[in-house]
Parts: sequence; C-alpha cells; structure tokens
Amino acid sequence: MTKQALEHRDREDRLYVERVQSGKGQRVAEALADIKWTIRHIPQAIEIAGQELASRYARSILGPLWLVIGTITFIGAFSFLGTFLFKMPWTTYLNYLCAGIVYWQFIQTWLIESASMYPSSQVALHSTRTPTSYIPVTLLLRNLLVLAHGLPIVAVVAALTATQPVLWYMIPFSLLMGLLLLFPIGALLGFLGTRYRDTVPALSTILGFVVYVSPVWWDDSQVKGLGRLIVDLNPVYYLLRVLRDPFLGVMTPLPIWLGAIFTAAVLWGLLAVVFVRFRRMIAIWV
Amino acid sequence: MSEIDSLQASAEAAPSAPNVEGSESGQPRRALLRNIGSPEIDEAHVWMSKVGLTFPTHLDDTHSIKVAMLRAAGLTSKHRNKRPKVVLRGINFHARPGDRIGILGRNGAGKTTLLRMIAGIYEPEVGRFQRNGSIVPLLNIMLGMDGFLSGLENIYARGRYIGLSKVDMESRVNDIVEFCELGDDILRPVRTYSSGMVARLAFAIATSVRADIYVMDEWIGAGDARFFDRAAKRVENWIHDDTIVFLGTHSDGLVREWCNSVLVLERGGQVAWCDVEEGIALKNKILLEP
Repeated sequence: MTKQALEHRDREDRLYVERVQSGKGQRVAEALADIKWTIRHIPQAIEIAGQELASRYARSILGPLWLVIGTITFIGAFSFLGTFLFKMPWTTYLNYLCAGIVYWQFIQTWLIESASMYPSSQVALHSTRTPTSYIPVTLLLRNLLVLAHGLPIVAVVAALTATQPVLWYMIPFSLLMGLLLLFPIGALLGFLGTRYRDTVPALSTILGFVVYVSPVWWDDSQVKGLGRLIVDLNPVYYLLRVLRDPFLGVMTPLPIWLGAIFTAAVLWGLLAVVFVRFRRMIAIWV
Repeated sequence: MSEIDSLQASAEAAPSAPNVEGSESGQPRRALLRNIGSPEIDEAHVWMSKVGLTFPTHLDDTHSIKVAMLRAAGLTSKHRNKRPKVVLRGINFHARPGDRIGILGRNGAGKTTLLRMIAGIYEPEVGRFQRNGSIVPLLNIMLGMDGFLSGLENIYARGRYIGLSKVDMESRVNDIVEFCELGDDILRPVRTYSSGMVARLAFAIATSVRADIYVMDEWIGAGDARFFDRAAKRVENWIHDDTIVFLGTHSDGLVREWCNSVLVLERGGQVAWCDVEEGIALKNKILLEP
C-alpha cells in the first residue's frame, strides 16, 4: 500500500501525523484511510450527534421529550381509528401500529436526510478535511438517538399488549439487520442526492405513497388474493417484518432473513464500488 | 482526448509564464537546492508534483424543459459544453519546516482551491501529492459555532468538529479563554456576542491547536486593532516554531511580513515559486494584464 495514513499521537501538540500520497490506482487505499479515520473518531461523532439533537431543541422546555410525546399522541389516537377500520382488538393493533410507526419514522427520516447530508454539511466539507464516510455515520447516530426515544415506548407497549411472548433476545439482531440494510441505502442516496438535487423531492414523493402501500399501519394478514402481490413484491414489507416481528412475538421466517442478508450484501458491494469511485467528487459536487 | 489526458498534457506544458519561470534567480534555485523527487523523509512536509484538478461544468446547467425544446428545435446550440474547467494544473513545490509560503494571484486564479487541496479537502486528479504532519486549516474559523451554546461549550464543540476529544480540549481551554479576553461573557450564549467578540473567540479556538502545517485564507476580518496585534503575535509565534504556513492573500504587506517565499497562480497554473519581492512584482504585473 503506497499510502500510509499513520495517525498517532506522539506529542501533546502534534495531534496526528498522516501521509497523503495521491495518484492513479490508489483509490482503494484512500477509501480505506477515509473509513479508518471515521472509525477512530466515532466517540466525537456521538458527541456531535447529541449536540445537534440538543441544539434542535434549544430554548424548548421539554426538549427531546417532544419526540416521546409526539409518538405517544399519534399512536394513541390512531390506534382507535385503526381498531374500527380493521376490527382488531385494540391492544393487538396498538402493538402492531406502535412498532410499525416508530420504525417507519426512523426509516423515512434517515432516507430523506441522507439524500441531503452532503449539501447540508457543505460548510464543514469545504473548510476542514471531513472524510466522506464520516457524514453518514454522524447522521445515522443522530437518527439512532431519535429512535432511542421511540423504542422504549414500543417495548413498553409490546410488554403490556403482545398476545404472544415478546422475543426480546431477537430485537438486537433485528435492529442490526435493519441497520445493515438501511445504512448502505442512505449512504448511496447521499452520493446520488449530492450529484442530482432532484433526489430529495423525488424521494419525498416516493416515500409519501410507499407508506400507504406498505403494511406500516394496516395489517397485511388481512390482504388476500391478487392484492397480496402488493405485499409480497414490496421490499419494505420484508424490512418491516425483520424489524417488527420480535415485538409481535413472531419469529421471522428463515427465507426472509436469508433474503435480507443477501440484499444487504449486494447493497454493501454497490456502496463499496460507488464509495471508491466517487468519494473524491463529494467535495466538488457539494 | 479525455479530460484527464488533456489535464496531464497541460500539466506537462508549463503554464504561460511571463519571463520569470526558468530565470536564474527565480524558482529553479530552490529546486536545485532541494531534491524535487518524491521525498522519503519523516519530517513535516508538503510536496506536490504536477498536480492538477478539474471541476465539472455541466452540473449547473439548466435542465429545464424549455431549454430541451429549444435545443430540439435547433434554436440554440445542440451541444452543451461538457468540457471540465481546469482549476489547478502543473503545481510543483516542496514545503519543509520553516517555509512560509504566500499564495498570490488574482480572483479566481485558484488560491482557495490550492489551499483546500493542501488541507485535504480536494484530492488531486492527476499528479502526486504527499503531506506529512499534523495540519490545521484556518479556512473558516467559524466552523462548528453554535449560537445557542455558550462560548465555553463552543470551545468543546469546535474541538469535536476537528476530531479532538474532551480530554484534548480541556488542556487548551484556559489558553483559549485567556486569549479571547471575553471575561464572564464566555458563559453566555454566543448569539448574544458582538461580531468582534465572536471573531475573537473563533480565532482563539481555531489557533489553539498546535500543528506542523497551517493553512490560512484571508481570515482576519472583524476585531479591533488591539485584537489584530495579538492575533498577529500569535501567528508570529508559529513562524518562529519552524512550522509550515500557507497564506492565501491579496495583501502585499502581509506577505512581506510573514512569508519567505511566494507561489504565484494564474488561471489555475503555477506561474512561479520564488522569493517574496519577485513574486509580488510578478503578481502585480499579472494584475495589470487584461
């Protein structure tokens, strides 16, 4: 490897020493150095994520508690409506809806913010060396902080209302699988959204109807016949199955798990190619 | 010819330089003193050889239906200009500890682009670039400032943005607070500060980190004369510390005071890397050209 990114603390004043050498055929080495920097700076990324969330609620009395209040109010009100529509027991539907909505809000915010993550950190990208991989990691951490306000509600609701015992031990795995699927999608959208600024409006439009054709707030078990295709051909359905099933006390079938792992592998491969090829262009495109 | 080929070709061909390049007293003297080949040394240095960079120009074209229809009707040029803009070409220099390089050139000559490349923001498209040593870019001293946080909290916030941990920052806080002379105001939100106070705080934070290489771009804006003197003193301390300083500026005075060599750019090409007076004379000559 011609490029060595030696980054070590030798003296108090000399923070890091690095060697940058650029030329043809070094993209992979540079991409690895980029990722290495990001991994080393994850503690700072967590602090930045927390600070961004806090500054969003500056001068607010309840602060991020609004995230919890908002979720509870919406789910509480909507669950009554859904109970009449779907003729399900209120508690069963509440559990289903709660997990679906909390995860869907996380997915939607992550995807839409991803598409504008580089343009919105344009100042930082143009005034200091900001590795390309650092931006999606901080964004994901911030969204995970928001999710951390919603998941306890889901857990409490599930513990109180689940008709089958909640599969607590599966939740970390299901969350990890979800992130392995969502991170590369968001990171790819980051590249796309920086190059083509139509991405954000297009994505908002698409997600606006995806929420209706996906079983986020309606129960897919009631869909039969030809309409079943809407469910079976919908990738969001499988993502939601992986994320939501443990809270419903359902073991996600093995084919869905295998499909999710395969899809994640493809997405990460695609991301690796795009990252190595276009990483340098981000500072120019923004 | 692909864009990279044409860029390489232009890197080979020397940028059109008015008489200085190649003269006996100009840039080659340095080149002779120092081996311009790939350096394999461990001390801090910045080395560029035939570095070039282009920007795509078609990104900002209008893609409207109106334009497409006009094009189809043959009412306007059928071909969009897809040729990338050469923003840097043929950059060659080797900076070692103690070198303080002023980067001169008219507006749009590529000063900021070159400074950003040195800072690692843009990566070269062609050529070779080696940088060894810690670097502090002072391209935007306001980076990471949050108006709702207090001055003190902003010190830590800025540290996070440049990748420093809380422990790293704690050892610097006293120095920063002392330098910016804000007194008890340091505990109040930054949005209540005057612009001069913000500039003082930002400058104190940005310059609190010691590095081997500093990259500065016309940064001294607000602040009164007293503050300017203190800021200048701080920069002078670096000068005595055997650091490498890059300063992009239009001010001849600043270059005379702080720099010991000058890199003159014109339309992205390096016209000369030479002594201060020579470089200033050359830049002023270029400014008179149309």
